[in-house]
Amino acid sequence: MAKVTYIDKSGNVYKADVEDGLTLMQGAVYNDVPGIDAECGGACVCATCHIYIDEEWREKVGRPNDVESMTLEEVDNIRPSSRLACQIEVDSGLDGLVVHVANG
Amino acid sequence: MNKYALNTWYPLTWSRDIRHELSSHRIVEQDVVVYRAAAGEVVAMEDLCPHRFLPLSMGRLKDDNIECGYHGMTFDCSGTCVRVPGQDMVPPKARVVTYPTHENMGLVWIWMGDPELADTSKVFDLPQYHDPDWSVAEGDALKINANYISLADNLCDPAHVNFVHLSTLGNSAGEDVKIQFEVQEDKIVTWRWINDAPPIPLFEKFGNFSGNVDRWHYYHYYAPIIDFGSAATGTGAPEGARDNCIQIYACHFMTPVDDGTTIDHWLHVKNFQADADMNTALSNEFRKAFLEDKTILEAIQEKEDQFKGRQKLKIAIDAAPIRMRKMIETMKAAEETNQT
Repeated sequence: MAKVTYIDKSGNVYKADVEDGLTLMQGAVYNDVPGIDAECGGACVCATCHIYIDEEWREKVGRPNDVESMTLEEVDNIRPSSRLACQIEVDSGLDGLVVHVANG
Repeated sequence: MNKYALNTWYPLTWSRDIRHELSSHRIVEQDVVVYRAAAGEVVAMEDLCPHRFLPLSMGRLKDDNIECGYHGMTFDCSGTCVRVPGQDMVPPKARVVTYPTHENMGLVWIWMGDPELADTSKVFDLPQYHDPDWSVAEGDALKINANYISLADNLCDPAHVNFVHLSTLGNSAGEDVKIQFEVQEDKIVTWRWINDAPPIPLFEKFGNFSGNVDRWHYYHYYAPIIDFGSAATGTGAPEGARDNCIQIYACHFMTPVDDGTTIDHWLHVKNFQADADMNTALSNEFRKAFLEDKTILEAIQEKEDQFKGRQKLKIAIDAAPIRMRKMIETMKAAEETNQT
């Protein structure tokens, strides 16, 4: 399990306990974090779970693969720290992670 | 400004036509998919799957849920998505807008505006419709290729009856009798009495009158889309005695489909009992009369489209229709003010 802090576009903070094996997208949806619409349910298609990873966590979380990078190209507010929350599986190694939700 | 007043109950269709199957209806330029749920209530929602925009009415009803005919996204009575084939997770925001409905007087009424304001006690009702001393016969859903305001004009206007409905609801008596009207809070009453004159063809057929009669003809218009014309004939009208009259309310419930299309749901309510044959005969008379109106209104719509912006002449009998239009404008303006 990992304690994950989601910060929405308005700066509101949501702290969630996310079970191992769930994705950051599921952790957000199950904890009613706004801005994670998850239309495709985790299929890396819709980019509605777009997040920014805090600088210090980027290495640990890792880079998007080719499929995810292609999907991310569709969003208009992409940054070097952009990821899709549905593609990041949680384990205890991500305890304390801070992410910013890209969409309002 | 909005083209239509939205915070009001509109008639959508006859209750008799809504079953446990999908049907598509257009009202105030919106497409609505409608069905009767197993428990009997009428469900209405936007006729559009949020996925690829296929009309949901082209899908299937499965129990009380609509399954889209393209990829099977499934929505319950509240418009909430309950299934997306091919993915485990249903996106929390996937939903379809639903509209409040209510049934009264044989019709399904729908609220296209702010759902918070939808109060079913405000659905139009004519008490005589439920009175056992009166009887009711449902008419048609008459499609008229004209704007609903043009039909509303026609229903605040006893003067046209002398010229349009000579075979049914009018005769030449009283052509020059002045039209009276009264504006009330949310309605306009327009009327005239034509006393000591031959009965109109309808009452000649069904009234058993010998000699001249007093006839009073009222239109009760409730903004924006309800009107019932009260045609009564008897004797003693100048003295205010109306006890021995026959009276028929011809109700018009207008569905504004779009700029150039209106559906006139009409029925009649009368202060005497009638068997099926007589109701059919009466309905045939009204059907004939309302087709006469349809012909006039469609011809006018064509000319309005041809001469957009051209000023029309206003004559004495236009006093009530002008106020009717003003009433609708006021309703729409109030909705805009409340929004901001």
